[in-house]
Amino acid sequence: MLLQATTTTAHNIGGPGTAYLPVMVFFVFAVAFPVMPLILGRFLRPWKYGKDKMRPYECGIDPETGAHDRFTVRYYIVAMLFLIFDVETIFLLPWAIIFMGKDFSFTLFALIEMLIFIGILVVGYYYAWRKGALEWA
Amino acid sequence: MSLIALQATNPDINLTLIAPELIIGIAGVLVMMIDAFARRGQRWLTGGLSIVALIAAGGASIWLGAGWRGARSAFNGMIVLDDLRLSFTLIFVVVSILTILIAAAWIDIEKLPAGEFHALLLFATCGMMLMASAGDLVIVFLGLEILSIATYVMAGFRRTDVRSNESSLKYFILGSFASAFLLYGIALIYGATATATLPGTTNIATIAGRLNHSLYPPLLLAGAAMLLVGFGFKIATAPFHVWTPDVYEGAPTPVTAFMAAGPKAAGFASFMRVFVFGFPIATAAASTAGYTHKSWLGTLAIMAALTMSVGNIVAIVQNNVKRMLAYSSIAHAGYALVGFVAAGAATDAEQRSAALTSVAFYLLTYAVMNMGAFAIVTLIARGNDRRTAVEDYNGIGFLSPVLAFSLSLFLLSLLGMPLTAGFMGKVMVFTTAVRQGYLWLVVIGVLNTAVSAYYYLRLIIVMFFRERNTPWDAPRLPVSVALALVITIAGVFYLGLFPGRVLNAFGAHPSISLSIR
Amino acid sequence: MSALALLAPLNFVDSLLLKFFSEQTVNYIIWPFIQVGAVVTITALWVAYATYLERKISAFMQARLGPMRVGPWGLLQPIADGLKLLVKEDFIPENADRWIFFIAPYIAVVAAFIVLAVVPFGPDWAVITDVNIGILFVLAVSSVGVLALILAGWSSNSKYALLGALRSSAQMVSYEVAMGLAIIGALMFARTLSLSGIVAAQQSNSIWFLLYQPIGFVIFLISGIAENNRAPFDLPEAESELVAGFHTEYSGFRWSLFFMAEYTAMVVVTAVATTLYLGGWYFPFVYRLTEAKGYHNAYVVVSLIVFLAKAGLLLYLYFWLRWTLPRFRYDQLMDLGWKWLLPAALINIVVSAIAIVTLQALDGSGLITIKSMASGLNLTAAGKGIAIAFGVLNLFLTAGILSLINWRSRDFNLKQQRRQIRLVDLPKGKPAVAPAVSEP
Repeated sequence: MLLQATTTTAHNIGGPGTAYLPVMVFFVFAVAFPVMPLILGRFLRPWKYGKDKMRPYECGIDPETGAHDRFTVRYYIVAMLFLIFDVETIFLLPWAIIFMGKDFSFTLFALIEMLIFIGILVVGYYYAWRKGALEWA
Repeated sequence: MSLIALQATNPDINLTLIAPELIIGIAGVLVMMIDAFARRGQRWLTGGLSIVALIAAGGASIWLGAGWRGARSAFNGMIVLDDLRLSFTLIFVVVSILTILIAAAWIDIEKLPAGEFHALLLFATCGMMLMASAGDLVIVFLGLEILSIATYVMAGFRRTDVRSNESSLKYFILGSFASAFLLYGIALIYGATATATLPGTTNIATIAGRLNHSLYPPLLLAGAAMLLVGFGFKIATAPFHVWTPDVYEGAPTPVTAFMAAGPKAAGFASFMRVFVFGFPIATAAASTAGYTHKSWLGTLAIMAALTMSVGNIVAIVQNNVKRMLAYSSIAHAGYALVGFVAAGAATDAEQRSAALTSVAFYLLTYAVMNMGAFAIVTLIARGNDRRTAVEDYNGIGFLSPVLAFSLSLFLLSLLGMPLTAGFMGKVMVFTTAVRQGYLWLVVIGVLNTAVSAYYYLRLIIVMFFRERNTPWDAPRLPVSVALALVITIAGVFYLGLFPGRVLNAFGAHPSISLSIR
Repeated sequence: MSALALLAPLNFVDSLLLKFFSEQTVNYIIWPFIQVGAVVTITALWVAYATYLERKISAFMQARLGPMRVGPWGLLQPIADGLKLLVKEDFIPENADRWIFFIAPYIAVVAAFIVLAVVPFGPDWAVITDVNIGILFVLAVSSVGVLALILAGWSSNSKYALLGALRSSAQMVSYEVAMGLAIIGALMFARTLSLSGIVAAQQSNSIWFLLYQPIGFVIFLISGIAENNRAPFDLPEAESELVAGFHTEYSGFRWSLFFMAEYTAMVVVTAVATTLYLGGWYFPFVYRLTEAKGYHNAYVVVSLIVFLAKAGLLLYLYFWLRWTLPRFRYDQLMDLGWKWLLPAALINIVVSAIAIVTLQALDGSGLITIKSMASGLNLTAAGKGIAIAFGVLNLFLTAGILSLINWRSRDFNLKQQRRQIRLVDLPKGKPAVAPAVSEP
């Protein structure tokens, strides 16, 4: 088979320490890239004050109230459900990597562990469903 | 490092040792699911299942105790099995069963989702049990969080009531703050117990062994102080008690009853385990261990005196029965702390075990009489906790004799009248304290008991000797509450007259003796 | 051959650089600098021309011509647009939270861009960096984009912006769950979190994980499109109800930064989808025809082209979908995320795990299914067949279970619902308004 180690050659191998240096380089680029045109644009673009212009857009009507109002509690519920499932995902990621062991008994053990783990999650998920946490309208 | 490698390869799983917790946890999930699927008419199902599960958990812990062969632990010392755990587990079971019985009528009146209440109650019980069985600070924290989150929700269970919401929110904010203290304390202790070769530890037994080898003794003291604050909040000792009256008053009455008896006992269980076994008495008083021990013991003795006094004196001026009982609950935590101090000061294992048993017994008696009193307060308060002022009790003595006489009995027991459970509890606690030389604390305790007579007897006088101006419609006594009353009245007399059996059972399996040289 | 000769100087440059700098500096700072510069430039060009492409494709789909005036076939249109945005006023509404308003677009762009650092565009020097937790990095950094939208919507002090931000955050958060769970199936076969490692696993096995994980791929793609807030999931910017969603109050170049972030995020999603499911830069026979014969740089370049072609196909899908499907209703959107994709992802995890357990069990019982476990899960032909069979089985299983649990859902099983509607009891007494439908 085509088993070769070409994917990682000398200047690409990186442990946790060095592998993130290029990410830092990328960060510098990614920050500089949008900032530069904006600084450049400072000299080109106009800036004029207008009382009506500065109002938030509301289809031409003057805003009566501030925008930071109460909103439906469903967003919070979605956020909470997201937290639960995202943590679940993070727990499952390392599990997926070591799932298959050298000996079969370990793999079977890992499968059962995962089934219990997901089983508990599914119970909670179904509870949330029954209680209407997933219904939007 | 070899220790860590060993632990990594051998997780030391022992599911039998956490059988009570498992039963309660699984039952909680089941109740939750039944609640989601069952129709409205099947409310009794969740309550029934909860009670069955609680009884099963109690049976499991008795069975664990019966099959006990020496000190046992599992999960690498994270879960331990000793009399401290077993006795407190039984207290939690009693408290939760009584709460379900008391709440049954209340849930019907308020038209609340029964299943959710029962599920939360079971989860809270699971958390309490974990707190009692924890041999590791991490498990203590885990249990505390399971307990607290369920309790926060229960405190705000009457969603449409502003007072209930306020109570829940106050409890949540202050409780999280206290939890943070606890967590920081755990972190500091973990750091302080690190030695040159070994990483830090959160295992309580290991902490005790490392005290004199600590590289940073001040850190150890700071950590212990933070733990003291965190636990002090949970059991509402004097400087950290201010949340109690507001929360207890606003929370629905059955939940208040539960909070005053259950979580408080759970806090005591962990508090005692962490301090009595984690920072035990040291033979060399000049060592780090000796200094730590002396510091917390002295602080705790002062806190005990303060708690008793503040609770009793402020209770005098209360005009709301729930608020009065809240302060009374603070005072009772103070009495129990006297036994705790005695356990901390005990020099040999037998005396320490006796002191721990006395605290467990005290909390059991308090739970029984407190639940009884709150059962009647729930009945009289009616829907939405309307009638909780002292005036509402005017002259009901001969209009509703059953309620009035039972309430009087519980109040007398709370006061500590001979022949009742309250008396026996106080006697046990004070005896151990005297034996350890804390006579001044006992004197303060007795004086406080005298003070407390004022407000307990006042309510009795109000009930029997004051004229009633407003019409009185006697509340119907539901079967479940009647059952709870029968249990509590029987308990008050049984524990007051024949405490021997319970005391023997509670002290049957003394914890591992630890002494620092 | 002449094209290959052009690539030879790369090695020369490398040796030249090593004369002036230490090996560490060259490997982790200077080469990445060149690579990053190239990637950023290409991505910026892509963003510019994506707008052009979008307009052209939509025009062709609607039998129009699209932009034709600026340059030949309108090819200079993006540059004209860019100049226009650059000289437009940078408008900030009064009462806006100025600093957050300033910073939000940067967060969006930076979060979208940085993910590209870990994507393996090809073998060897086409990889900027191979982070060993690559896929986790992708998930973590790309979810920072949600913050940018929330901050933008909140700081604008405009109701439309706030509503758009809330909607978009709820949507992105919902689909992120399904996305995160969907990739776990592929990771079980790859046995590594490194993106290069995932490609290597597919290459050494001569297979695309798409075949093992058809459901996973579909879930990933749908949630990826939803994560990008692209049609048919473009509710946050639903112009007919929310004006422009979270960027209603933005203008000029700052506004264009959000667009840049969106198009970059599209590239990210397609690149990750390609890496995870379409074999990344791996294509049959490429290795044998180039690297095996000694043309290393040609190998890299061809692989790079393969990668870009695969990603390009997926990108075309975005435009295609946009002009084909109508926008979802919000409850439908949430339903799809929470009631369809999430259970499907969970089923996918379980079925994939069972597939692997079966493979190992069969391997133990005589039939050789597993070749090695050194680089991913290396299967024999029989093993591959079983894994693919499980993938196909999963398709039917998922379809069955999903239709079972969603049987009563509003947008499913319309026939039954119509029947039920007819069975509803009319309220007793005379209705205030006569029913619109006259019963015979």
